[in-house]
Amino acid sequence: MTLAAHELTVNLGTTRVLNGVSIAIAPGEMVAIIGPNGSGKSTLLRAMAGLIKPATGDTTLDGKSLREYSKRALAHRRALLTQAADLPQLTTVREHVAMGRHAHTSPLATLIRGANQADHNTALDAAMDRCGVAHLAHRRMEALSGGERQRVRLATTLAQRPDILLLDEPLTGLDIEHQLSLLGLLGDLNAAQGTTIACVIHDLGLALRHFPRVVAVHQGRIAADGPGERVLDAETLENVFGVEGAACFDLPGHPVVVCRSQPARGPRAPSSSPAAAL
Amino acid sequence: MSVVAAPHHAPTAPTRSTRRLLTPAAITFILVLGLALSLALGAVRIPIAELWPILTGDGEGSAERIVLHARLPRALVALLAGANLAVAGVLLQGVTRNPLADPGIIGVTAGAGMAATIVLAAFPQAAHALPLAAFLGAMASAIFVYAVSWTPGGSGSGGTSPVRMVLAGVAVNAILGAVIGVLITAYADRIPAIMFWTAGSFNGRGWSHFWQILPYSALGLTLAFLIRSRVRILELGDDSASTMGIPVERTRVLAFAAAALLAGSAASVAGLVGFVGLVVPHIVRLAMGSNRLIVPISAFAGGALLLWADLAARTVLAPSELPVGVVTGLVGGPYFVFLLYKSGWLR
Repeated sequence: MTLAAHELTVNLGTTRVLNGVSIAIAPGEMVAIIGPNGSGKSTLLRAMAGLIKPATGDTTLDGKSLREYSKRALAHRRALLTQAADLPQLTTVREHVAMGRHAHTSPLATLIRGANQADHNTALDAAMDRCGVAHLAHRRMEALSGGERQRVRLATTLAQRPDILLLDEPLTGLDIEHQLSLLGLLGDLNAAQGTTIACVIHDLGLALRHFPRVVAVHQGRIAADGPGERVLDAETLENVFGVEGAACFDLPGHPVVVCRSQPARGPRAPSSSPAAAL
Repeated sequence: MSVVAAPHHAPTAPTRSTRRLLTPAAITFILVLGLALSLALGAVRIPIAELWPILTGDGEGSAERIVLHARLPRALVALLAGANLAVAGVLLQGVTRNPLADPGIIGVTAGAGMAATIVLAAFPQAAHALPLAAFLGAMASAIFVYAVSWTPGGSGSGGTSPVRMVLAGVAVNAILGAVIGVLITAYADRIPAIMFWTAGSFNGRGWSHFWQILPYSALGLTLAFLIRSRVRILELGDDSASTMGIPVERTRVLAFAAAALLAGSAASVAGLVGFVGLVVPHIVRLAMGSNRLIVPISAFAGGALLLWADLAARTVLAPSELPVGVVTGLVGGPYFVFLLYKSGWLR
C-alpha cells in the first residue's frame, strides 16, 4: 500500500513545477504537505493521484506504476478531495455521495438494480455517518453551508472506500470549528481504519498538531521531511516561507507556530534561486 | 464539533416524491393524447374511436390511408425529433457544464443549416438529398468543433475542456452564420424556401423520414441512457471524476458524438427547430426538482412538445402551415418563463 514518487519532474506549459521529487508514503501514515503558494504542493498531490503524466520519473503504488492500474482499480485504492468544489445542479447529499460509488458499481447496474443494491446502500450510509452528514441526506447541496458541503465532499471520497486519501487544502474557507472537526475526522479515519492520509495544508500550527509527518515543498523540490517539530524549525520557516518564526510548545499537546515577516528583507522575490533557499 | 444526531427529517420529501411520480405520468398522458389528436385532426377529421381499428389493421378507405401514410409517420417523426433534441440538450448541458448549452452550441445546427442552405439555394433540383446533406453538414461541423476544442496538453494526456468546447462552437456558429448570410443574399429568390426549412417543419414527412431518423435515435438515446451517470459525475470537475474512475475524455467524446447524432438526425428530418434542446431539460428538472431519470423523461417531454407543436402548426392557420419552431418558441417560451419565475432556481 505504499504510495511513492520516484524522481518526479513535471512541467506545466514551459514552467517546471516539480523538479525530481522523491517521496514514499507508507500504509497508515498521516502526512501534511506544506509550502508557499506556487511551490508545487498541489501538483505533487495530483501527480501522486495519477492525474498528471510526469515528464520524467514515476509514481508507484505497491511497487507498481500507477499507469499499470486501470482507472477503476485505482479508484478502489485512492481518493482525492480536490480544491475546486464544482457543484452539480439539483443534487441531494445522498446523490452526491453516491457518485463516489461509481467504481464499485457494475456498468450494467444502470439497467439492472440487483444484488449490489444492499451493499451500495450500506457503503453510502457508512460514509455519510462517518462524516456526520446522514441527517442531511435528502437536502440539496446548494442549501448547505460551506462546512457541511466540505463534509459531504469528504463523504463522497470515502464512499470510494479508499486505502489512501489525498486532500488538497480541505480547510480553505472553513471556520476554525469546522477546520478542527474535519481534521479530527481525518485523525479518526487514520486511527480506526488505518487510512493513509496526505493533506496539503496552509496552517502550520494545525499541520504540526495533527500530522505526525510534515513535508515542506519549495520551488518544486522537497525542502524538509520528517516529524513536524523537526521540520518546522526557524531554518525551514525562513528558507521555505521567508518568515521569521519558530514552533512553540508551551501548551502541552497544543504546539503552535508563531511567525512574523522579515521587515528588513520584505517578501522574497519568487525568483530567488533554490540554491540560496537550501 | 460534536455531530448532533438530528432526527431524520426532510420536510420537502413527500411533495418531492409525489412530483417525481406525477411528472412522468403527466408527460406520458400529454404525449399519448397528443398522438391521438395528431392522428385524428386535420383537413379530414377522423373520430378517435375509429383510430384503433385503423392502427390494428381493420381500417378501410381514405381514413386508413390518411392515418397510416400521412399522419402516423409524421407524428412519429416529430416524436423522435423532439426526443433527440431534448436528450442532446441534456448531454451537452452536462458535458459543457453550461446550462445554456443546446445542440446549437456544438455547431450541429449551423452545420445542418449551411448544408441545407447550399442545397436549397444552389441546387434546388436536388431537394430530395436535403436530409442527407443536412445530416452530413451537422456531423462535419460537430467534428470540426471537437477538433478545434482539443488540445494536446503539456502534462497528462491531451483533451478538451468544457469552456474550449463552448467557445469553439460559438466561433463555428459565427462563421457558418456568415456563410449562410452570404448565400441568402446571393440567392434572394430562394429565401422563402430557406426560411421555411430554417424554422423547422414536419410538412410532408413520411415513412422514409421515419426510417431515416430511427437508427440514429435508437443509437443516440441508448448511448445517452448508458453514459448519463458518468456525464453527471463529470460535473464534479475533471480531477474528481477521474479519481473516481471515470474515463473523462472518452466520456466526453461519447456524449458529444451521441448529441451530434441525435441533433444532426433531428435537423435532417425537421429542419432547425430551436428551443427544444435548450429548454426541455430545464423544464423537466424544474418539474421534477431533480436530475433523476432525466434522459428518459426528457425524451418523452421533447417528443410530446414537438408532437403538440406540430399539431398546432398544421391546424391553427389551416390550410396553411406555421413553421414548427415558431410554435415551440411561442408556446414553450412563456411556459419556461413562468417556471423560472415560480421556482427561483439558478439564482
